[in-house]
Amino acid sequence: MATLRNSSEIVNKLRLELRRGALPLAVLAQLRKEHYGYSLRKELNAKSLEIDEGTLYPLLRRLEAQGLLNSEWRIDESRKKRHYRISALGEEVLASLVTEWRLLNESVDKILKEKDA
Amino acid sequence: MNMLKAYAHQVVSYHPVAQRDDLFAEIYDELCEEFSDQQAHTQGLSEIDFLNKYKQHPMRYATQLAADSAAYLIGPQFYFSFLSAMKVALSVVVVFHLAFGVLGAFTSGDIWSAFWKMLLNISHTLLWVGAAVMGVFIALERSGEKASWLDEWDAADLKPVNGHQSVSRLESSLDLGFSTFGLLFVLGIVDFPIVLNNGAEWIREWTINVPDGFWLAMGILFVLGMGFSLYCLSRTLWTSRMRIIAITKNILWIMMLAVAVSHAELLSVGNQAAPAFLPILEKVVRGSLFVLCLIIGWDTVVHVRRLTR
Repeated sequence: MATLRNSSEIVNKLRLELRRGALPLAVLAQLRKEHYGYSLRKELNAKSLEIDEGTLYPLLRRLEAQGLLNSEWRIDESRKKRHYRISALGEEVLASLVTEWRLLNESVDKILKEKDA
Repeated sequence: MNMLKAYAHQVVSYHPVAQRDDLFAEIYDELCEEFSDQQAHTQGLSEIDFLNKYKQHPMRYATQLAADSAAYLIGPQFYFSFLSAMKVALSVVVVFHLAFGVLGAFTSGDIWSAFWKMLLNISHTLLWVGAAVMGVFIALERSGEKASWLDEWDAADLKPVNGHQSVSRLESSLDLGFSTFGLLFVLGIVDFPIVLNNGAEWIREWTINVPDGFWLAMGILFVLGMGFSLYCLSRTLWTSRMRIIAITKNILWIMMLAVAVSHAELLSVGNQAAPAFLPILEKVVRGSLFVLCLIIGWDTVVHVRRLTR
């Protein structure tokens, strides 16, 4: 039987899973404006979507490999920074994902309201 | 920002060479910015404190960054070092067997027979050396799975990047290859394919005459050599401690080789008449050991110079 400590661990794990599913959408949407890695993290954290660097960078690489992002190296404050921005294909995919997200939201809301009723 | 550079170097060292430069630039920039932000909130925050408080062990971070890569049979820490070590170890075996195959063909005048014997011997040695290298790396990777030391790391153990030389993966792999082959030879699991021909018959039973305890000492040195080269494969930069170990190891090897070179009647043949070319072969072997002493001596001098710089 799950103890109180176990149940909070379970909640944490499921919470992370829930957030992880939303990350590609959030990152693509945020990159409609150009960012480099740390500025993107800060922006997402400021909007209560915490993401650590070990999750963010593989995601950025994957999205770029899929053609959804473009990146460019620039020298800034004598350090190399990789700036990311959503691509044309990324915009198309984002539009589809936003529609999907809204549908999902509606469906889950219906289920939750049924439960409450 | 030396500790931040050291951390970033350590993380990227677990990744393929082709990815390291870009990955290092991104990670290092991220670290510098985050450190600046944290310093603004916490007075007197040092780089070490920042890394200990906010960052995980470099290997864990490197593993997360490699999350989308193809699955590794051996963990990301050692995978590329493993490939390198296998290639070099197997190359060492092939080169040795080819050399002795050529020698056998030269003395017997029968190229096909010498070539055939070389092929039979080479497959046996390749199998054992490959299995030994793979076994070592699998053991290392398995030990990393339950490694609680990953959670107890201290950033103070990172070596600051101050003109440190990078560790050559090729050299470490060569070292590992030679040490593995040497250990298997000392244990009698593999043998040099001494298949020289003395006129009418093939000579198989050779004895290398050395003082008592010599083989045990060599075995210990080979084991230490394997351990040290594996350690070097997991590091990116030379540290003072590593150079002192390398110098000590080299000095021990020079002493061992000097004992072998100065020993009278180094080679003998069992149960057969000594071939006419035996004295020449002995001179070749002594000469080779002497050249090896010089190479190791030169490596020692390089390490001493870098240590004292």
